[in-house]
Amino acid sequence: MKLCRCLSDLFRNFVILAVLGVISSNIFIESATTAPTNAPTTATNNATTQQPTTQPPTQPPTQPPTTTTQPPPTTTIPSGPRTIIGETVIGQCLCDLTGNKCDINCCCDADCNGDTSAFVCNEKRVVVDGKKCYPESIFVFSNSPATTATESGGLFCIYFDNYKERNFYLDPDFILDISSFNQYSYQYGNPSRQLPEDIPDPVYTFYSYYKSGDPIYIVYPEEAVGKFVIPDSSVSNQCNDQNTLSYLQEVNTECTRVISELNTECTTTPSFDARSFYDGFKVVTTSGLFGYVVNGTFVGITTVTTPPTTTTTTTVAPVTTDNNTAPASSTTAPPTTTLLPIFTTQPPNVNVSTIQNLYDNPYTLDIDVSSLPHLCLQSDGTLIDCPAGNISSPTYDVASNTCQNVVQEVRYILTTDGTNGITRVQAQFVFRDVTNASLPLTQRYSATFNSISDSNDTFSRSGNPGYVIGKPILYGTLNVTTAVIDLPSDPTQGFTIVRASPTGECSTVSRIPIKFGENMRSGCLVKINVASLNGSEVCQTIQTEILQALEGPNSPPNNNKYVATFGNTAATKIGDWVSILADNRPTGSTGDTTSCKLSMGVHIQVLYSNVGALANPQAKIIGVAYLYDSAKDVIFQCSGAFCQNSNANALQSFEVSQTVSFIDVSQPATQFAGEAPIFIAKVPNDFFYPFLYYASGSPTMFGADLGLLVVCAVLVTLFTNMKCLLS
Amino acid sequence: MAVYEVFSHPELRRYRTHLCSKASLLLVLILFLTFIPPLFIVYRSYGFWKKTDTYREYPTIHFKNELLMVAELEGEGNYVTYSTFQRYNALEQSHIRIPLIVSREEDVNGDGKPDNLIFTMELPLLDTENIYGIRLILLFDYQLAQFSTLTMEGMAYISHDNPKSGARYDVVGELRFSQKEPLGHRGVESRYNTSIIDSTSIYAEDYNFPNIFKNYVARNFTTYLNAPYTVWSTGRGADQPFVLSATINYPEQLFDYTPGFWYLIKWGWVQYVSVLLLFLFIFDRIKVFIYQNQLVTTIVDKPWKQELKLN
Repeated sequence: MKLCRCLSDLFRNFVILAVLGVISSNIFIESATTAPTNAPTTATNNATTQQPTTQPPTQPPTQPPTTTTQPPPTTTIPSGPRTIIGETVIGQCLCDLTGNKCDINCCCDADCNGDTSAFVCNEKRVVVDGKKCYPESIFVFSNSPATTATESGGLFCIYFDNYKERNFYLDPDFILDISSFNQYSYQYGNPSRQLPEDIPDPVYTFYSYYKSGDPIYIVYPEEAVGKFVIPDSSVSNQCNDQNTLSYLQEVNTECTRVISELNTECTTTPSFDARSFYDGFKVVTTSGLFGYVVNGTFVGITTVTTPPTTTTTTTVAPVTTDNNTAPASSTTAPPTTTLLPIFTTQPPNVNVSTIQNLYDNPYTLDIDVSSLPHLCLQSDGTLIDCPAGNISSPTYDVASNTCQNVVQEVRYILTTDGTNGITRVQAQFVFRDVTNASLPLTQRYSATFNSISDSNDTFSRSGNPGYVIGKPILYGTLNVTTAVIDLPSDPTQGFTIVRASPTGECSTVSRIPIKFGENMRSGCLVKINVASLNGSEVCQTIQTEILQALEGPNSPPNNNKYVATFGNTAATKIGDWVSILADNRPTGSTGDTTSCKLSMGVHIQVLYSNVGALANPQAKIIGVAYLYDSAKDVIFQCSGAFCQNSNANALQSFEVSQTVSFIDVSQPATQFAGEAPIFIAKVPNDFFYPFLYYASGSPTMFGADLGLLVVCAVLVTLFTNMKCLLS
Repeated sequence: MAVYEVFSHPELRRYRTHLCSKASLLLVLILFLTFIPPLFIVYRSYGFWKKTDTYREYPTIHFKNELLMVAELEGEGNYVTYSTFQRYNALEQSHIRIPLIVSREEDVNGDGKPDNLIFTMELPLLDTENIYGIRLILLFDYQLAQFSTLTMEGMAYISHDNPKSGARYDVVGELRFSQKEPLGHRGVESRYNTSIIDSTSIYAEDYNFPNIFKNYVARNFTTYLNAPYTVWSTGRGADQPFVLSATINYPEQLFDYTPGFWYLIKWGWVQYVSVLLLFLFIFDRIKVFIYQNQLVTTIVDKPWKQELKLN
């Protein structure tokens, strides 16, 4: 009952408040017409007399402008009158768009001399009325020039409007200086305003050195500076020659060159010529060299008119005295005073005294093309060392219609030495002969970075220790006499699956390496002639051929094939290698003159498990098995038109397939319950969602909740103990 | 000394009458009017019984390593095709071109469910061949566990045709679930855990794309590939394969389901009681007015009279 009465009071109050609200809103509208708070006419006057501000345009104003009280600063007009528009309605005849001519259907055009009876007046009459005393439909539909006297006299009709300015735009002044222009632009512009682009160029001093990701620079004999490029495909497969090589970022790219006329373009295409990849420029070893470039011009030693004698002494002095050079030369060459920073926590990278010009100095390197043997791609796809001698440009052989000595691949090997930058750049080329059939030509480019401290016998791991996804699986054959796993020379050619040629034949030369974590499927076509099917010996031969094609060199029967459990397993630790299992490997085959029972597929399954900490799982291979399709009848299928024109003896192709699957068999972490279990009220993990959510989201909300909880708890305690308190 | 209210509490006034009287009748009528109309109001304003509701779940999706591919070559009717189904490959013997298929499913957030599929298919081509279009069906295993235990086979369809011969086609998208009816709130739903492509069939029509699609769309639960971001690159070099690369995301999704009994009752109760409270209040005021002013005759028991009697 008390609750009901309380509610009724509440309801009554609400009704009263609502009525009051409606009344007061009416009063407010009336008062708005009688008591304007500001005098905007003076505001515009203020604006015209205000001085231009010197506020920097990069700082947007802290408070939004209120146009009536604080108009943005504008400048006074130096001369000439300007039209003050103020509170007048302008644009009363919007359709009069031709001077000295009566615009068609424009009834308000003065050039028509009032002869508008044939017109359909299409101008929209603009009626400024903020009184809300007329229904809006009148303004939309009435074309009549007669004034409308209909008054709806609604609840919100304003009878006396003594604040007419609210119906008119403020009329800002011209902007005559750039700072207030920028201020307007920042105040009123939105993100779609198009700003001048401002990406700063890197600034280099004598103390600079290449960092990982910096572009590597080159200089040309005419002292022009460029960037070391490595072509790459971008939006299409065609090579983009402007792709910059970054310091310490290895790249491996592949892109195509489209040539239409081989005979003419063979010798003129720069990308076919090995010289364009090393000749005619030098590599800048350290970006400290550009401490000498000020405002795009080189200011080296040559600009110093009379080198002081101290300079000559420091050229033979060790690097530690380089700091003496700068003040000495600064006395004679004013530009260099701005170059050298005052703080010298470490010696500068560049010995100023040794630089005579930007191209020819100790900090530029020629690309070394003679230390590594160049390779030639033969017509059968193999690589051999090219005959020794100079690198020659492409030549066109008219007889065989071949462009010879074309660059197929460029390999850059850059040797680095910490902050000293690049110490050596080597290039190795792969050349080939190009005919019209091998166009468009696919070129490969790579750049690798070595450290000067690297030893010569480097090798790559497939993980340390757990396998990394996409790395080749380490594979080898156990040498029983030496008890060492013999690894293949190229780790990517160890554990492989078959690759089909475009015609579907099983390729024996080029096989696909199995990479960790990548499921694969491949296969090829085995061609069988029905005429040769005459007994189980033939079937046996075919089965052997199929297995040879699929397994390749990985044939597991002699049980000496092993796979490393970890990506960094050493070849000598035999215990860390697992042998490859083979299940149900077909050994024989039966058949008759029309069919053979053949196993047509090999499936490699790799079981791996994550070991180590849950936060840092390391993949470990625990087993590899070859699984074979069960033998099935392979019948020469000859049906329909294909067989009718004596094709019955033709070769028929059957698909054999090979798959690789990786199966994660990670064992879950074992859980251990310590104490004897007490009763735990199990609730779903989102049962206390709002408390937990806010607790993790914002501490202030949690604080508020905590406060509320405390108050609630106190109140509940008080009420429950009321009786005992009173008695 | 001003007097102020220290404490107050209400007192109970009792109205007594016979069973067969106007007052009793009125009470029954008011009771009826109090409890029944809120039910109608709640029902007529719709949504009284929440017949369907939504929930979010990460589906468990696995690429089944099964596909059916057709690549359109230059020239009328020239194509090469491949599938992981031996019967189909035997049917299309003269057009079979065996690609290299590499796929990998990543679990980025470590919840034990794959989050995306990285799929690459390298299709070897002769230098005289040019690819102008590709159609590819990828098959997925799709599982839900939160309410209804759903297991089904889903499909992603990649299709593109281009007037320029291609070197590479990149597809980036996500595999989305589409349902024609709400899922159940419990039970096992394995109606559609059947093959979309009948790989045991030796009939060409079973591998016809329109037939596959017709049968697939007839299912109540399907998946589709939402991939607006695709790039067709041209300029294939000599001896290079055509590469199709697809990155397919498995997103968390909103599912419609039919809620269970207690869920319906809970939300029905919440809606009914909120209206009932208003009615209880109004009719309580009416009852007070009627009985206080003796519009129907009752015997009034006033508490202070009893106290007087006691004294």
